[in-house]
Amino acid sequence: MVYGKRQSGGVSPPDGGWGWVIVGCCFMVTVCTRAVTRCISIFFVEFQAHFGADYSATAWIHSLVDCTTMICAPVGSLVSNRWSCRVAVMLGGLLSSCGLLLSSFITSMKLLYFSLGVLTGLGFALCYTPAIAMVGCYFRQRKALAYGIALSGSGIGTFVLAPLVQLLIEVYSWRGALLVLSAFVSNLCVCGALLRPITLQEDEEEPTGEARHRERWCFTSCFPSSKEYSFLLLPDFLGLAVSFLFLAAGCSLPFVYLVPYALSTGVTHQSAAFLMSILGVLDIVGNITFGWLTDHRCLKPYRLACYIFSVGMEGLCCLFTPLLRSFPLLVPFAVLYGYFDGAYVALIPVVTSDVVGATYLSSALGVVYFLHGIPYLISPPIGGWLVDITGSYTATFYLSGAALLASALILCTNAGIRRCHHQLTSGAKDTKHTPLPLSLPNQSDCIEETVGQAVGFASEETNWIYQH
Amino acid sequence: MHMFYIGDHCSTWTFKYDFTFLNEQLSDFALSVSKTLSTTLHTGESQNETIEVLNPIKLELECTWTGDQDKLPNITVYWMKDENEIENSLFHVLMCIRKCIFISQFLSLVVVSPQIGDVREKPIVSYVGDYVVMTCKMEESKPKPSSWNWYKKNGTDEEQIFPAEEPRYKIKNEDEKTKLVVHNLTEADSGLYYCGAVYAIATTKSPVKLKVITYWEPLKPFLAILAEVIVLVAIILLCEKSQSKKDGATGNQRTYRYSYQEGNSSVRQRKV
Repeated sequence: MVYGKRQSGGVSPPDGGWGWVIVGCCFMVTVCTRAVTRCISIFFVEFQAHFGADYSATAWIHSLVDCTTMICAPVGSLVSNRWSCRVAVMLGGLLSSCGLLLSSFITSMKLLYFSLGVLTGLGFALCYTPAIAMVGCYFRQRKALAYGIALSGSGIGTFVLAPLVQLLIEVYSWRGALLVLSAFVSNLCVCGALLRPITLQEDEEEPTGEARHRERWCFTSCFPSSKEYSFLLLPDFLGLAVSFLFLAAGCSLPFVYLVPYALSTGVTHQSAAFLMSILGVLDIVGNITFGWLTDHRCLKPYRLACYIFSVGMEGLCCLFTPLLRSFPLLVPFAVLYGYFDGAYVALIPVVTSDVVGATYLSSALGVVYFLHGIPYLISPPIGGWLVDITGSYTATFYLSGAALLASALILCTNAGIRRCHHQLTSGAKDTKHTPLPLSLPNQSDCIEETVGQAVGFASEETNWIYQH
Repeated sequence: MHMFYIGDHCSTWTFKYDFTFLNEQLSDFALSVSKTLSTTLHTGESQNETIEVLNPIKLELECTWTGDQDKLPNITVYWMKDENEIENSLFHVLMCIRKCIFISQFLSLVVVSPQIGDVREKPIVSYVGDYVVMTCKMEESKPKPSSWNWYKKNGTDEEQIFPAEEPRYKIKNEDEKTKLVVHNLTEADSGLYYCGAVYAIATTKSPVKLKVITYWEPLKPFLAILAEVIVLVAIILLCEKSQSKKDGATGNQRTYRYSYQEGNSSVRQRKV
């Protein structure tokens, strides 16, 4: 029998080689999704002029794209679990490219919400989570650095794409610009094609006999089984999830309200725009340097602490903002906030994979980004409402700071409780987290149905060959 | 004409301007538009001033010696406009030149209707068959025009656009801004358009350039990038397929794929 002798059938994360190609692909995916989302706001003036809409109607488009990308993230991880990351990203690239293509020919604002907001957002969602999960499969020792580089795409992409989009609008008007942008976004298909699947060696011991692998071919059932999402019940993950809700509520506000706040304190338009540029550049720096720092042997066991530290620092920066009433005082705020914003963004997938393990990373990331979606949608309008009723930006920044500090506090408390709990029941459990059951549902019936072969395991093997 | 007797040295001159309505009976309306502008011309400097007014105005220019009152220089001051000395004229625009042996100072004054500040330099681009919206906006701080007109440049003339005659054009006027909407564009519609803010004194015109292109223009980079994507995807997938076939045929495993023990390879080849 094959299985008695066979090794686990996977490899350990290469930490290099093709992994860097994957990092490059994830970088391009982040550029094509997050940076393009930010550049959509450049089209607002054109939409307002052409369709005669007002600012709030056009601002909904950006919120819709952002929100759809985040809320449909579980769909992305579902598709990548069912088929493969490659299929998910290529499909997403196709969908978002079609969405932008459709928008280029649109004749009314309402249809724009659908084509740009829903279709393109869904396409982005299908790409974003699988690409990030893939990086986690290919790296272990240098995971944080790899994520830092991959996720710096949003900052660098915005930096490069913003003037480019402006130029396209000047030369071709918004219709032509959307057309060219849709061709640019179709590069996601190239990135998807490069995402070579990898089977990982399982970390824990395996029961003898049964094959263990991540790839699943259950075409018969489209809904995730309960075991696939069993990580949701982990206390660590629950704490993380709640902290993400607060985090997302707090972190979007300063980006939206920094420029209006700076203008209200008397800073000129150009200086305010410069502050946003500082934020953007420090974001990139924070991504890469923090990722590199937390990969060091001395800091690796304290990655969660580093994450909590960066979120807490951001919260403190926000709380101090109402005291900063001039440009020279706002610059250090922009520097610190931008740096720690980049830092925690690079660490989100790392911290998640530390908690749930590489096996469930894809599904877990889907849930994590889903939890980002609703706060992203509702907290800027709430911030705006606070500005309207109090007449100043103090309350908004206090809200943001409080949400960020609450997020950090929840994680601290959770970690503290777990540590006490483990110390009390020492020796019985793993110090980090309860190991997840690695036995995925029995697939023999699914395989027989889909492949139609007689012997379950042998046919599994054949499929495995064709899969790779 | 004002005549001053002043001493040897002239250091600073103060010019004061006061605007009032021409018609004395309107003086009770006064001062919503009046402006007092005082500026100090230093020796040897010349100055250009542009003043925006709504209606014809009476302009008063006053030269005052602000130096030491004890040391009034002993020279004559003349008012001149464009090299001609003015004698009690009804000209509304006056210039002041101090005739001195070694200094001459002058002020050049242009009286215009309120100007439109931000002029869009790049052309507005639109597509054949689509519609385009061109806007003109008068700044908030400046007085609002009584109405707006639109003109199209035809050769050297500017023809006014009348929406009643040509239903393709629609003009939407609000107090401080105006929009011209042109439907069913053709390439002949490219060119220079002017929006005119109508004031009693004059109509301020501001140019807006329109460029109409066909869809082929952006399609060129679109198709180029799409071709690049298709070629790259085809190459990558073909490479992957050929390499997986090679692995299957020779029984070699790639390092990132399986690591099977030797005994199993024959079993696997049979399956393939």
